[in-house]
Amino acid sequence: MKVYTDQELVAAIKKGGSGRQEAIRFIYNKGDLRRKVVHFVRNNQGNDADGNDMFHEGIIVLDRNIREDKFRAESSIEGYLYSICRFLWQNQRRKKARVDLKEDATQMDQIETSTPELQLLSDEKKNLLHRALEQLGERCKRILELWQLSYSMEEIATEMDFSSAQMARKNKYRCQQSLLKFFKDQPQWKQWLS
Amino acid sequence: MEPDIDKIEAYLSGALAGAERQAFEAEIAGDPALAEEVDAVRLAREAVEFSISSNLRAQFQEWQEAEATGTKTEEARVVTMAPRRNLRRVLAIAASVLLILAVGSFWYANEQFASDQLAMDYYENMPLDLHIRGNAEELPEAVAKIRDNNFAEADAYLRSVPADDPLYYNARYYLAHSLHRQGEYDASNDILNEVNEASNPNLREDASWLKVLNYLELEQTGNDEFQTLLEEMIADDGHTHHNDAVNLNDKLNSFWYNIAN
Repeated sequence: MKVYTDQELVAAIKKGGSGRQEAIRFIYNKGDLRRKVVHFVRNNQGNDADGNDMFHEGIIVLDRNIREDKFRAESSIEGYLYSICRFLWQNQRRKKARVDLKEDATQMDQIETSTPELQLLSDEKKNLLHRALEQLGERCKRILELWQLSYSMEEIATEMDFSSAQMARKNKYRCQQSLLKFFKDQPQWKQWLS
Repeated sequence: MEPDIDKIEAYLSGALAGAERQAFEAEIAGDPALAEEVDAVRLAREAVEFSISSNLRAQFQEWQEAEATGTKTEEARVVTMAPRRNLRRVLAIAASVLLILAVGSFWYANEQFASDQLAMDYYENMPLDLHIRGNAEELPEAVAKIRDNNFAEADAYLRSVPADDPLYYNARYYLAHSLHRQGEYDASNDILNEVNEASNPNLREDASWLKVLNYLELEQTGNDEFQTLLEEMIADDGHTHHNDAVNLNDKLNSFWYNIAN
């Protein structure tokens, strides 16, 4: 497997396509880092499975932050990913602590106006996003994913077997309109904005 | 007029910059229909991002399963042992027990007393919100961004606070936190040197403790400044981190710390 520098990883992820996939695989295979994350989680009331989950979730955040230019190139990718994983786990523990608190009837009064409601909202939102993607169909979903992953229209045409970049553009527009319509048809859809 | 979806996407993805971005923001502010379209595209992009994340999770699952299969193959190897005399067997078992004890001790020491592990444990108990002061909304927002790992935006604001701003040292302190969380411990310490000039003693004390934790992460417990800071905190029972420092010092002098480091 190719060995990447941090700059090459950032460039590959931003460029998208198979290069992004290989870059993510390279990060995924950083055994020392994964062990460090698992070690941290295990030392903080988690188990190996939790540690692996955090490592995966950390890579997902890293991928998105790089694509959205939120990753500052002065820090190393390893350090950045490790700190993401640590804080993801801390957030999860805090969230769990609040849920445990909710289950304790004696503590109920103290928390009824805070997080559980937000947690419910978040689950509802996930459900809404899931439904939006379902109604879109696999092909449309894939086109929009490729577009968001910075594929060019030519690359989308090749990937999706369209006759031209122009056809890819038309289909992307149609799929996007379908997704927008789905959301606009939802009552009070704006409440779901982050 | 039909909204320009490509422009909205460029705006949301950050590709629209400078004057063009400002002009578009002004356009959004003055056109409710355009503002609504921007919101809808934002939600649509979030849905697609949700799908991208799900794909990655499935991919990780696949790789993990492939790894597990590989491990099982390794584990399935059967090692046949030749018969041995009783004494040799007893000695072998005793050696194994000693080895297990040694490995177990090393594992325990490493889990609990490794320098970076100690730093993490102490850092997690360090409240982040204590120095959000004043009327400015930007400082709490920057701290929230640090919590969300959005370091680039947090740092951009924190670095932009001018030296004559009353919250300058608070901003530098939080910048040091951001760098600590990014694993940039030396850079964090450089910033903390400035916070020593702050008039607020609590801010200075928290800054000193963060510096101690940076040295711990760097495994530089022999460093002169680390030693001095720790000694000062231990000697001053009114210091915010006096108890932490005493506790840390005990750990640094323990048998387990020496095994782990």
